Amino acid sequence: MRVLMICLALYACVQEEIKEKVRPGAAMDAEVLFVRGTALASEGRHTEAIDAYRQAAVLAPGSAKIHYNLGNAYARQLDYPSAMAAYQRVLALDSTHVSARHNLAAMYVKQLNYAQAIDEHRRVLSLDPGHLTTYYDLGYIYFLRGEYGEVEKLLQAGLDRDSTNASFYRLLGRTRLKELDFERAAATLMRAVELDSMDAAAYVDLAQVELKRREYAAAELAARRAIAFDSLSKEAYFALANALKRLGRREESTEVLAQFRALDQQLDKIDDQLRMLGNAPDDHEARAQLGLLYTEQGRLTEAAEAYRLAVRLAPDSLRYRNNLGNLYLRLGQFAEAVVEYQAALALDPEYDKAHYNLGQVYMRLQRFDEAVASLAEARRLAPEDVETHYFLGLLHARTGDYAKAAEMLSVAVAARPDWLDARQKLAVAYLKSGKVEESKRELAAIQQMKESGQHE
Amino acid sequence: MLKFFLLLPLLSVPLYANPRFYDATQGAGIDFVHFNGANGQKFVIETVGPGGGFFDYDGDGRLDIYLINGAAVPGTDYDPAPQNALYHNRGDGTFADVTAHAGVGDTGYGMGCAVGDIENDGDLDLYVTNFGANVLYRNEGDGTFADVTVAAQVGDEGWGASAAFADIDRDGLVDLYVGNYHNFSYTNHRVCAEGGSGLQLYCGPEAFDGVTDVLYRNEGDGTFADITTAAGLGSAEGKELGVVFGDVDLDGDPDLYLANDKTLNFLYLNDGTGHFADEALLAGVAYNEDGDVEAGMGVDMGDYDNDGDPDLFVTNFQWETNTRYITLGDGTFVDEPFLAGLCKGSIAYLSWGTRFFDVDNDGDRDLFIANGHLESDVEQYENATFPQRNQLFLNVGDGRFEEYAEDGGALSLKRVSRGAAFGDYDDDGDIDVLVANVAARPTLMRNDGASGHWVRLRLEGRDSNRAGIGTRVEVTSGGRVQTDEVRSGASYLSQSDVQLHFGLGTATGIERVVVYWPSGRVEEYADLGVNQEHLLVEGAAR
Repeated sequence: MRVLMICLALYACVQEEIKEKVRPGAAMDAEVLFVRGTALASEGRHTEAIDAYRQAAVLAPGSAKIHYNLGNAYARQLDYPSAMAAYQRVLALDSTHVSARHNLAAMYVKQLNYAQAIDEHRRVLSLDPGHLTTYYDLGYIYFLRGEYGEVEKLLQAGLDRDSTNASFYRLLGRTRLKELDFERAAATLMRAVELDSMDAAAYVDLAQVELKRREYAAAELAARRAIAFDSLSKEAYFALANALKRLGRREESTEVLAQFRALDQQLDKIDDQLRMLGNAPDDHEARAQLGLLYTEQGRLTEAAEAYRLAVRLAPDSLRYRNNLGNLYLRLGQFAEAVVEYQAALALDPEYDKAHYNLGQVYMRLQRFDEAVASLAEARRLAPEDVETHYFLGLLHARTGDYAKAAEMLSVAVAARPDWLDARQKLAVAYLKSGKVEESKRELAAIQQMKESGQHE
Repeated sequence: MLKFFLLLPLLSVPLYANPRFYDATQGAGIDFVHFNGANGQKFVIETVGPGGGFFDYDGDGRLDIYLINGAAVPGTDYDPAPQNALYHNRGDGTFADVTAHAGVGDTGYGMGCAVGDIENDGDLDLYVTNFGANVLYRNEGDGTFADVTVAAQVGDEGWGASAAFADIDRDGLVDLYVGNYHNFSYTNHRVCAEGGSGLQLYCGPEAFDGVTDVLYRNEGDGTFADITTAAGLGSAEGKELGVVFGDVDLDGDPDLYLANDKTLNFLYLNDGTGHFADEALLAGVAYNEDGDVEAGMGVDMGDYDNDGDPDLFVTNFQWETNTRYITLGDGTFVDEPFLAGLCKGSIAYLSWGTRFFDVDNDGDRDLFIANGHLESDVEQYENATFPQRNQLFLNVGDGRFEEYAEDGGALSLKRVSRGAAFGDYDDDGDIDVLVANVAARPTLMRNDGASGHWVRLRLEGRDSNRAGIGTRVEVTSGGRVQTDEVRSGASYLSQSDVQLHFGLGTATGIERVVVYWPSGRVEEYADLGVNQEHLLVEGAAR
């Protein structure tokens, strides 16, 4: 939760508007670089954003906003020492820069340096008593330290300024849970979900309160809502399993526990990688592994960022570039995908996977001739690959070369006879190329497959 | 009339003196100092040990003390080399260092110890875990020990943490389980920077890989066989620190619970033949109540609520709650530290050795926790201290505990504590505590505050293993039924007295004692006297 809040705060800050007028010369160049960096950061491309900001900082070393955004980009990359250095640079230029001080405090928290974090957050509040995020973040530190009275005070002060802040209610509810005040905890968390009906974390806390109150049906309901809004909330699965167990539904509980365990193992791996990177930010393989783990969880933007940095640290890695290309492909960033696949092929022209993937992205870009060329090259290098033949078949059919399409598709069908879609397309290709008997044979086979239900 | 109703419940509650612990270390002649070799390079072994133990090595009826020492690390020299120490209880409150005579002064980098009678000859043998090869000392019965590690084939060279003996296949011979922590070595050593301020800190368990533990089957001929994998215990996923055996499912065989550091805990249920399957996840004892893994350190099993089922307790890291798992009676547990009153009091401490025991002899089991941080520099980056005071939680009934803070006694001392062992060394009818401290003297905490009646039971197996390890006993006194089990190991790196101690409160008699021997034999005793020790020999009940 704390991480989410910090990330949200950082993200908001990255969007800082450029208010100064463009100046000529170096200042103008710095501004252009700053704008580029901001745009890149907003797309989650922090590695490239850092490049832009660093160049901007050389041209305009006295610009607080450049150092500030640089710090944010470093923070998003988990490079906390560099982020802290950037924020401290901002504060050296402008000691009243509230956001930089707030984010510096967040970095101290990342390093478990709570005492320093508290100091910085307190300074933020003295500079800007209306800085709502700080009430939450500071409260959360006290929460971690078990100083629940301080948490209550801070959150109440925050709520005095914004009584509709669901996050405050959530943390307040969790605090009351820790204080064994279950009734007030439940009421507070209910208020949190009234204000933000999609707040999965609040539902998780509510589920845990209901478990404490031995209201197991209510706990089940809250846990299921949490899962509906955040399918990666392992705490929600755990609470649900506990509720089901206490409701006597042991088999369901066991199933949910298995889901929890699988998720927990995935998240553990990610945590391990993040921890490792905290100590060794230049470990490209660790970055790539992190990317792989994010990919497995469907967190593609984060995965792409991890691979971007891996590529940055090890530009000659075919695997990193290919995987980054794949992520761009899945994210719909086709131009970027082409760049990565081509870079991989420049390193090794015989890399069949990159040819295949390049063919895929060209298909999506409707650059069909290039797609055919890429897939043909992939076929030459990996003649046993069934899907290459399938897609080549589709491409040839699209250009009207049905004989060639039938040739390719028949290879795919021979390798995977239960592949219904390939057989249907093969039937069409046979028909269009004048091979009526072959087409009928395929259609008969398709009919039989449908009736038997045995097909892919 | 009003006074009558107010007085009645007060009079019905026995009044007990407040617990009071006296630091008897110096007066007892315990001059042992633990050395950990620390020289600033932050080898993580320096901050994990040590443990210690109470056991009667010479059969004179008095508890002696064994203390584990560290050793030099690269860049540190000691002359002479630190060694483990055995202190003989003279019976007058003082101890004599008999290490050299007894031959148990191992100089390996020591972690913990456990005892059991490996050859059923009536004396307790001693197993020492090390960072490096472990050591088995066979008790020769004449006040000396022989190092039989090589012949017995139990010198596992991993990083041994807690260990425990148990007769896993109920063949009358105790087997041996050794929990290994992780794969740290001097060659993969590194320093971690978490904590901020540029400080060089010990790396947490995440920085290293788990390794398999070892289960040795006692072959009965002086040797042991490694049956870890065959017994279903070959997982390398855990990073074991705490080990406790006990009959969790009350089916007559010892099950195994392992506290792991930042990996999920394991509950291995024994199928009765010495084969185990991990049921921790389904039983609800793998994670804490929120589904998080915690930094499991020490562990104990005990029936604190006197309902006949063993409950579990695991000590964890600072800012984590210690975890008490209550048996629901259907093979599952629930973790409710807040309801137990154990949350607020534990979150500010980094906890290690622990035990359910009846500190005031009022008839229910209280809880002791040894505390101390890992990092000597912790005060520079966190609202915490390196030395911390140990804690005592009194059982106040209804499943709740309340912390008891002593003013000026041994409980108020701040040390960097690790292992804790429990036993009545001064034979005055209450349980004393031996706490092993890092790079310092241990603390011998003499209990001077218990006022209730008590009984101590020494179990001696015949068909079962001689030390009675794994024997479960039910004591009915004053209408209250208490259960406990003879254990080797448990707590953290430590060995407590293998005799069973029951506080009886105001009861002046014991209606019934039922003994469930590991052999399957069940025996019953009636009308045992209070405030004394009884020797219960398997097969001798009338």
